[in-house]
Amino acid sequence: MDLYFGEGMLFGMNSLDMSVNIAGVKWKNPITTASGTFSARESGEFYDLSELGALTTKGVSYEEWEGNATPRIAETYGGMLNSIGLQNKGVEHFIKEELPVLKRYGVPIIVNVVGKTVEEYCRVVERLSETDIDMIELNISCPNIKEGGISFGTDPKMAFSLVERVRKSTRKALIVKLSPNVTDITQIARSVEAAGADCLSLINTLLGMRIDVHKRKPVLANRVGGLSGPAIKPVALRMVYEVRRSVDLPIIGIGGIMTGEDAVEFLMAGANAVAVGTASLVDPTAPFRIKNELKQFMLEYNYRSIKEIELLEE
Amino acid sequence: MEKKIETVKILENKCIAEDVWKMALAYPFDAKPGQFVNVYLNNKDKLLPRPISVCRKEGDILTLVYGVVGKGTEELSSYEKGCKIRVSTPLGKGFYIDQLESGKSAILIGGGIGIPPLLELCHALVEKGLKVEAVLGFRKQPFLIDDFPCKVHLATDEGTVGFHGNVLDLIKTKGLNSDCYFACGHKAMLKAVSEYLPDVQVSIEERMGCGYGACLGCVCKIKETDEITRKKVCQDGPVFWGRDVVWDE
Repeated sequence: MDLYFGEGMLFGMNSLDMSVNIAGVKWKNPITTASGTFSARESGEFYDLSELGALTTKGVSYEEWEGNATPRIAETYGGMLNSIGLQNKGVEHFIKEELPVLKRYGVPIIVNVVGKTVEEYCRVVERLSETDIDMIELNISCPNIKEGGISFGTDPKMAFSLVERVRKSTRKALIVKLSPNVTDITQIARSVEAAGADCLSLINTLLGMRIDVHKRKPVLANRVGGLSGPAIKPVALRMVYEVRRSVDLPIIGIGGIMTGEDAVEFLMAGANAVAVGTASLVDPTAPFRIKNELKQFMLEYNYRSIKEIELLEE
Repeated sequence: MEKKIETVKILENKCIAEDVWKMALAYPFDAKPGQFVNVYLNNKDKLLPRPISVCRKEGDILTLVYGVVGKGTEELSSYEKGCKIRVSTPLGKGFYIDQLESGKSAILIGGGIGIPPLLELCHALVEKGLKVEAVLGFRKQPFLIDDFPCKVHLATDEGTVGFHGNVLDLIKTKGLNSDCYFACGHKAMLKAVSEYLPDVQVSIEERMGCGYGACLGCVCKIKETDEITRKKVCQDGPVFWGRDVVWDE
């Protein structure tokens, strides 16, 4: 029996407030979708998207990107590899065809932005800044595009100059999504903070590979791809924990979140919100279910706000 | 919501040929020929759903016939009658048959584990009053052939039964033709059939991620007027016109 009708409803003497403020944008709960695993039209056929804290889109480039050859997907123990290659129809198509669908749900919209050059990133960001989206997530960490992203995401100097330039192109809240494919993620985090980012999201996928021993060739046409799913959760959690101790920016934790308790782990490690990715492929309603599980957890342990969860006993 | 994942009961799960299994499910949803369902495994090591085509839908019973080709389908074959599994409501667009008129003729061309979706199609076409023949090819051991409510032409690669050779050679040898064609099988077969019969509808297979159109894992190249666009096999397909498919990958 559910006696509570909304995130802010009173119960007994206490009120349960799941809302968070991420870089000046209010989310009614700390759950969003991880870029690439969500599409408003398709995911919206399974659950009411207005139940989430924010909606994060697939990567949007300036012009259309075709993506990589198939197979683009390979399953692994407790995870999966993908090499989609950021297939998308470009920013104009996004604004015309997809943004109106996203707007219907009345929750903050985060647009993931990709580019092959600094100029390309800036052009997309400038165009999006003319719209009423809420936040921009700069993808500097996709492992599936040669020039696109990962070199920006693995070199602190390049990351700094990219974010500095993009910062000048927009007043929207700017999230930078970090790559785990680095020796020290806190170095990049600090560079990006110094360059003017408002928020960090981490982690993107870990570069991985699978080989078909019968065909004696890699399973993915692109040979390598990004590993995601519960298999990477401990790595993601450790990185959120490290970054929390290095920067003051809000953090969106990402990496293998399958349940409400997984989300709690990230909040306790120092994330202010979380994004649900691969779980949406395993269960299309996962972000919605995880939000409900998080609420149940809060009721069970008498947490009244997300802030209270964030405090980890040292 | 329009789509959902349901926990349903397994009514039957048995081997009907080497590495080919038949599973019947209690399934109260409408399904069209050529659509598929996502089957989610109980073992959480394997995250991704297995997309399996609708072989037959009678009343509230859905029959799936699937090849045991890897660890996931091997696990699926281990589930016993009475067990419950998670299955999606039907996905994909299915074959385009609404415009077909009674009295027309149709040929169904199937290879191996591509044959099951043609069974539901065959029933639908026969019900619509079409004259249907099926050309079914196997490596050596046939399955499902007695279930087709139409004339069946049989071919085997090894010549164990029926015509010794592939389905296309059989069509050419017998000079079979009809008003419309439908095919399902491995890519090389579909490519050859599409070159010989450009107006064929083909149901194609690709490694899928989500299976419902969100992840863009399973795209194929489709010619649209002068352009080549990438379509989602799971959502825009899995059935396309043979003449439109770019078979280079």
